[in-house]
Amino acid sequence: MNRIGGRGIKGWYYRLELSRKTRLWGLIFLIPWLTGFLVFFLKPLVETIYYSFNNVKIIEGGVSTEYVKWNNYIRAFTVDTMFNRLILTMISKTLPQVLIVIIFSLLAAILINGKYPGRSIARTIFFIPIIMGTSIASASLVGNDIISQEIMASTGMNTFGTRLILDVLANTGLPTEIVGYVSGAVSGIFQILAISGVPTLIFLAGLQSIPPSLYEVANIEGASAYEAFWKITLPMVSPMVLVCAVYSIIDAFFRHTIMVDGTNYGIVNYMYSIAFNQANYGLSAAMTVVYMLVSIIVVSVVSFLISKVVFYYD
Amino acid sequence: MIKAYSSKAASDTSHGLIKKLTLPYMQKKIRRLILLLFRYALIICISYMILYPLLQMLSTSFKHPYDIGSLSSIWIPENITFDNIRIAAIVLNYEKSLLYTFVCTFFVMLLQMFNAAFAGYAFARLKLKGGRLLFGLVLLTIIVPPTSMMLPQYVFFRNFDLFGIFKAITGSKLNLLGKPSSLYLLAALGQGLNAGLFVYIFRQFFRGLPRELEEAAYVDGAGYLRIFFRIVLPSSKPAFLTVGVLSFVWNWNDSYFPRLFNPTDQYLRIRMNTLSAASGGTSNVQLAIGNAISRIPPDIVRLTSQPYDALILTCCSLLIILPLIILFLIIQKHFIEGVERSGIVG
Repeated sequence: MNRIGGRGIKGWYYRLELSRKTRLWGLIFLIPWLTGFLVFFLKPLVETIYYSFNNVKIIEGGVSTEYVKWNNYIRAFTVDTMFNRLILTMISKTLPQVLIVIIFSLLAAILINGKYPGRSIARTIFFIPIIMGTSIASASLVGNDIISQEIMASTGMNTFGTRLILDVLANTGLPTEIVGYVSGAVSGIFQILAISGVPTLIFLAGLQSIPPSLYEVANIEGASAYEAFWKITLPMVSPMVLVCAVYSIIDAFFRHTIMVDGTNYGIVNYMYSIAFNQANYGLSAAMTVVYMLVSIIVVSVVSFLISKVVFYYD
Repeated sequence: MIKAYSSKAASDTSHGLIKKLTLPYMQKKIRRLILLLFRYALIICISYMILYPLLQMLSTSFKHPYDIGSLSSIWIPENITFDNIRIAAIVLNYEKSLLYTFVCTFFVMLLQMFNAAFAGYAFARLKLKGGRLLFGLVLLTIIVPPTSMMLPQYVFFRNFDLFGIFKAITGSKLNLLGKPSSLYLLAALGQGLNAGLFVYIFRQFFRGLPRELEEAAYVDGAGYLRIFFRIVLPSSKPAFLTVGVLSFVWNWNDSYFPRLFNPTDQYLRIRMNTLSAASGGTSNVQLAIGNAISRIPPDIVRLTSQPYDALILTCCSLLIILPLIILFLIIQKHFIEGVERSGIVG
């Protein structure tokens, strides 16, 4: 046997076909991620679903479970006072917010993508929310809410012109729902700015990948900038709309909070406190399963609807 | 001939002049000007909205405690003082916590980055069997919220063991809770904060790299590991920069994972959460000031009102995001270029 490479493991490797070698190395490169996926994602996920049908107690060296059928789910929806409300407001508040985030981040990406004097300064400022994330919004909430409100209450001043916008809108005869919605959006503008960082990034990358020749052709054919936006820019970034929508929904769900009687309830916080402060692990597991199902259903429906209108260039 | 030429030129210029004075041309010019103005107006508005909270925070932080609620100044405080910042630094235990948070976040970032790069490269280049299905699982990890795995992961870290090794040696399972190693392990195995997104970014980036370079190296006899470290890594600096910055910033601002697995007060965010949490009776800020009273110099003005607590909390937030601001100023130019060149979602 005069084969190259000799015997043993080394020889075996040497005689592999290229495609098999590639596959082998693909597996090796993927091992860390795959282990993590099995140990920290799939196994816990199955366990959570199992826990949600049980009464769970943490004992020395593990957990003890006691099968209770659907009791945890029934309790989450009927006995618990907050959970229903959190899930419902999560859906109703987040979806319009995501719409605004997408429009706003596309606008921001277009603004920083163009060429004009002072572009670098604008870029630096527009990238602040991307880098700082929500820390600014949370900081501004702390800063504004207590101090400024006290000042404003004592002087009769009002926040940031919100009142003016409300007055104008209320006098135009629009339905009150719309007025309420717009005012809510205006007062939540910092929140929107904070969560639109990553979508802006994605849209910017998308805009950069549009071949300039398309715009040149449009220009020669006599299209206006307006037409070029609707006929070139929008179809070309429509795959990014899908990505951004999915990302923003997940992100907004994760951060969802509501104010009830002056206390801030966040959905993630709430489930955490049920598990670790009230030691009701089974109930918390049931809630997380519901939360997960709601996220998956909403994301699937939204991505199905968007994928109907998405245009793929290649 | 010369005459003919010059007359032609003259007619040209006169024609150009007339063209400049026609109505459609003027309209076009004016429309363009209005568009430009509109664009600048929009940019200035959005910039103002972005900078407003930051500037507000800055101006509040340096306000003298006695000036809270005074209307004599809006942006620049009347009496500038560093007392609030000093109190906030003492309350946060700033120097120690900063170092601790920085080291933890930095290692988590490194591990997340390399894990995502490996996985992304495997998905982009090395034709796996069932690679599409596996990549679907990556997307699943993006969609499924981390809260769903909260409790089992907690139990796992509480009773950590590798095939019974630790139990055989020490007699009991390892409790990794309250140690940064639990977060490192999570990050190294690709399941930390937004890890699925990083794999996605790397995969998209590697797919856009020219394949020829790697093939040439392979023909020249380089192994896959050498190709990855010597050829792919040096040419994917933009993607590493993007992922590194995003990972660092997100982990810096995150309080979900540290609170679950490593809830020490040395994390700036956790400390901040404790301080700002609602409590009956005395506020947490006042309690923290009371605990650290021996370290506070006597000449600092302190109050015990609710607005003063909010002021201190604002200073704390400023101190927490200060490293991020400095980081941003250092790397912003490279980062913006990196994002554009990495073509995150190609």
